[in-house]
Amino acid sequence: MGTELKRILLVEDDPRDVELILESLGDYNLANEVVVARDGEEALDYLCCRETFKSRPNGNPAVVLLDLKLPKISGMEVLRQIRSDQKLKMMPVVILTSSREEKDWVESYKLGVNAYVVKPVDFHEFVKAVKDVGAFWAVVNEPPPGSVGKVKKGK
Amino acid sequence: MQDEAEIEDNSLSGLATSVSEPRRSSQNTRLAVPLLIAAIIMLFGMSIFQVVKHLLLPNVSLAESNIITVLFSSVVATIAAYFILRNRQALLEQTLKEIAERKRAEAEIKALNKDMEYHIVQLESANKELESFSYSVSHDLRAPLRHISGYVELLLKNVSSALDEKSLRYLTTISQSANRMGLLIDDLLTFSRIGRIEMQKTKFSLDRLVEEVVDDLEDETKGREIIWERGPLPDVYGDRSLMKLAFLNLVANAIKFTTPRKQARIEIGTASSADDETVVFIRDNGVGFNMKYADKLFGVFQRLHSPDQFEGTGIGLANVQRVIHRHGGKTWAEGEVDGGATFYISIPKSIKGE
Repeated sequence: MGTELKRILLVEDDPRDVELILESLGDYNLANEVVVARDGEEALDYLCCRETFKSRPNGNPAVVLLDLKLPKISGMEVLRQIRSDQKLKMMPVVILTSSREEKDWVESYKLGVNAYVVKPVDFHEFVKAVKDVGAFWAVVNEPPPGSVGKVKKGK
Repeated sequence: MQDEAEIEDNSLSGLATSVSEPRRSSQNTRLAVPLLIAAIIMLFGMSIFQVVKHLLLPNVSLAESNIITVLFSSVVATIAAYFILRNRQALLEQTLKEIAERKRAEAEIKALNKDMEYHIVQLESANKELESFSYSVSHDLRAPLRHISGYVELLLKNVSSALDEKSLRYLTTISQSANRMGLLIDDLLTFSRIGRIEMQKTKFSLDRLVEEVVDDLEDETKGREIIWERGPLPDVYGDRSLMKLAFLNLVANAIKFTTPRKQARIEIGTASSADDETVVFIRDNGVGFNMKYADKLFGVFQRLHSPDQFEGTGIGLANVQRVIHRHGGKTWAEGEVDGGATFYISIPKSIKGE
């Protein structure tokens, strides 16, 4: 257990977005700690250690970067389930989406999201936004108990 | 659907009771009148008969007198009965006519309700379609643009040293075009949101609002010499944040289109108007426009200058017009090429728009 780095769960169905996000996070060497889920179901399976993730290393990610429009289970529903699960509800969740629609961000905040970030079209702005989000939640912020790398330390 | 049918039934039955109440009382009076007439005729007839009998036939025996009384009474009663029956017949006809009329009116209301329901459903579905359209624009159209912009940048990062100037320019142009389309999409979404957003109406000071707007635009006026002339502005009634957006666009335009002027002059004040509205103008000594194109000014993405002359997508005045229209007001402009421009907006004192 040499790694004390905080883990990021990226829930994103578009492989191009995944690549661009990993590229943006790469500068901070955060990319190694990113787990990618391709849809809402996979994200919940990972978080609840079910199905293919039965034997994954323990602990919650330090932050979930969550897209809204996802196959199978929508990002909004994933957020809802995270917030109603005893073990997951304190976990920081950041919505990372293309949508600027008011109903999306209002609904997200109603469900208790920690931040709402609109993916900019301009790549320089995009890189900056993703880097800022990654750096803040995976480096600056102190995650709640139960997060990877922080379990033993806190006690 | 069930709910709607119920509502319709309720509204109709409500209508029916309210109509039948006065009708019942009028039926009663109509029945009473002929009865009263009959009674009066009977009493009157009997009295006359008694008098006449007394004067003309003083010697008639009691039995004869009784027979005559009965005969006369019968005649009078028949006459009375005739009147009553005639009236009842008329009443019956009248009632039947009214019932038929009511039935027709009810059917008409039902048809109108159906018609209205249909239109409401149509309108709702059009609205939903519009919403889902802008939702999918927001979600889906921006992603590929982001990818174009992103991968061009990644490519530039990897191979820019090996590319000649021309190829570099091509790649930069691809990236700039993608970004511009992103801007256009965002502008279009804002424009559509302005049309859909629910208005929060309050009374507020236009003076303070314009002060805020000018403060907000401080960055754009840096290094510029601008003479502001602001007359007192009244309080108005409307959605403050929408109205602020309109003034932001108008004042930003005045700042933008006076850029070539060594000394810009921007004037904001009220113009004379009808009693029921406030007319505000924003005048500048900028590059102006040809009145020939005045009707194009407020169109979506309509521009009278090339992008190298003045930046912008051309959504600003369309937003202004949409905000003012939603308040039930009007927008218009006057100008001449190189002679400045004046933009007017009217705001009704009591909102009739929405």
